Amino acid sequence: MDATPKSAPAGFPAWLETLRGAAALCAFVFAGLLVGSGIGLAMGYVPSQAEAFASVLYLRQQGGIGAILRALHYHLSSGIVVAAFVMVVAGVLTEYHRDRKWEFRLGVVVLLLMIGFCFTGYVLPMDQTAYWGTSVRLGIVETVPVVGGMQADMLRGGPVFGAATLPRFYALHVAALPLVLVIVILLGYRPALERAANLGGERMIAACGLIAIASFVIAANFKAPLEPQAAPADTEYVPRPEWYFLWLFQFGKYVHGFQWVESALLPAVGVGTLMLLPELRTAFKQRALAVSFALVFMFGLGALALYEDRELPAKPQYEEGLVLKAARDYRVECASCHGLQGRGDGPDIAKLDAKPKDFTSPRFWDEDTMTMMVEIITEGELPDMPAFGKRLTPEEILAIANHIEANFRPKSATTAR
Amino acid sequence: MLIDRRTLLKSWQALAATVAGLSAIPAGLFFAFGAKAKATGSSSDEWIDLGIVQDIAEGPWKALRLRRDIQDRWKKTVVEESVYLRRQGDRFEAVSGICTHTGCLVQRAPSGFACPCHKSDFDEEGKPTSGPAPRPLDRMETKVEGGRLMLRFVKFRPGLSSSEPMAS
Repeated sequence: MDATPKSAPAGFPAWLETLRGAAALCAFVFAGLLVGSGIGLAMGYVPSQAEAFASVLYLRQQGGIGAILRALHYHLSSGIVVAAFVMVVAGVLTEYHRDRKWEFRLGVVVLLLMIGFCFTGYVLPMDQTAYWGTSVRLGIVETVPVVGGMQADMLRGGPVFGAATLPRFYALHVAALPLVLVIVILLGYRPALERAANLGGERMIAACGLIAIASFVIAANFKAPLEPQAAPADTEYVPRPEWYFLWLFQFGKYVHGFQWVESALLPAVGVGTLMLLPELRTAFKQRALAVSFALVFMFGLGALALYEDRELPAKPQYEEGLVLKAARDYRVECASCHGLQGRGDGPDIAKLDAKPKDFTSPRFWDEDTMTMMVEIITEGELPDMPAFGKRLTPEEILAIANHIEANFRPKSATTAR
Repeated sequence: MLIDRRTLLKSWQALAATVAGLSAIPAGLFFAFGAKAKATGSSSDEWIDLGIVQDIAEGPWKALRLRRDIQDRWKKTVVEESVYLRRQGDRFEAVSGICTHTGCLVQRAPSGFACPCHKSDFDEEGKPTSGPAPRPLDRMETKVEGGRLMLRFVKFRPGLSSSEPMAS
């Protein structure tokens, strides 16, 4: 498409240049929409351990533009990683990496920056996958030789994930990385932007508009996921990385005792090879072979990871999670007195001063029962009923009341409904 | 004075790079050294009361969910930790529930412990039997004081071949 006919004899198919151009255009539009949706989200998000999840949940439950922006930001973050990856791969296959050495190298840096954006943005919603995915990744950072532990401490703001952690990730995500990206683009891509501008303004703007509209349509129709709030002592949660890191994750399963192979050696070799490539005299066939090998390696490992997880239950979203958590809370917190069947005959009743409520009794249920249950679960009741208001959120308490009603309320007790 | 476009561009780029470079200094300083205050309670000298010795049943590993009150910089907070406790006669043993590979939480398995993240398996003594875990599950010290079992709670860095506490 641009400035390459002179190297056409190198033997790569012409569509690779088109592919690289298309990926560049997509990346350009995605970047704009990511900045815009990011600014919007920053207005609705609180980077504090106590409130991050609640603020994201609020966006989700309010629906409307907040939920659409979150979906846009979520889907385009995958989109821009793919676009940057395609640009690098197409740059390797064509003569671009040799014709525009430094642009190509900066492209590799941009791809790394995109991964940095994903790493720092992933934790922000503070749902289960955010917390666990990030702890695993910090665990991998720990194994980078010499500097790993120090790096992980700096990212967390200390040795444990705590109050200082989210603000750090947030600052990197919304201030430091964008600044670096802008500098890289301004300093390194000026000629590329000028070349792009010469390609014909109107068609280009039309293409940008189409990509943007398509992005919004996808965002409006496919919600961003949100799992239940992070529970740092939940032994039942099985963390999994995003789809584009599955191959590295699977690779990690085979690296026994040499964690740094995964965390430092493999990335360093990959990036180093790409940086050196412009200086090497390679034929298209060699590069095509190497790229095929790398793609088979990555997609093969990724597919294997999915295959090994085929029996893993799907991750519940927040709403389903509430229902599941209510059932578990009932089992763990309530059943010892109220009984697994809700009959008020749990194993601990001998220790109590009063008989626990029997949820299966028709007399227990009238039109105020639900309100009353929510109140008593929250505040407790003398002599034995403990208060859960400090340990559980109002929504979790309501879900427990709903669980009790759905499971134990006798069918005949439908008075005044 | 006339400056051609190329020189102007160069000087503009140099200026932008300088400003950008300068911004990295204060940001980097805070990133590296700022607000790294201790989260008190996570110090390695913390003994946690696990209850009256007589109430602890004999038998294989039991999962504990420890709730610790800590002062995390500007706020008081409660954190939960996963620990496994075993009593054999008068001998108490405690291992951390944190996998030594990347820091996921292990689960009980028929043969001992298993980590669901990268499929590391540990035997009943916490030694790795398969998978990428680089060392056994970390042991924690216990003692009996005034009839109560106390646990010295420590967190260890994942990924290393030896137990290294996370000093705060």
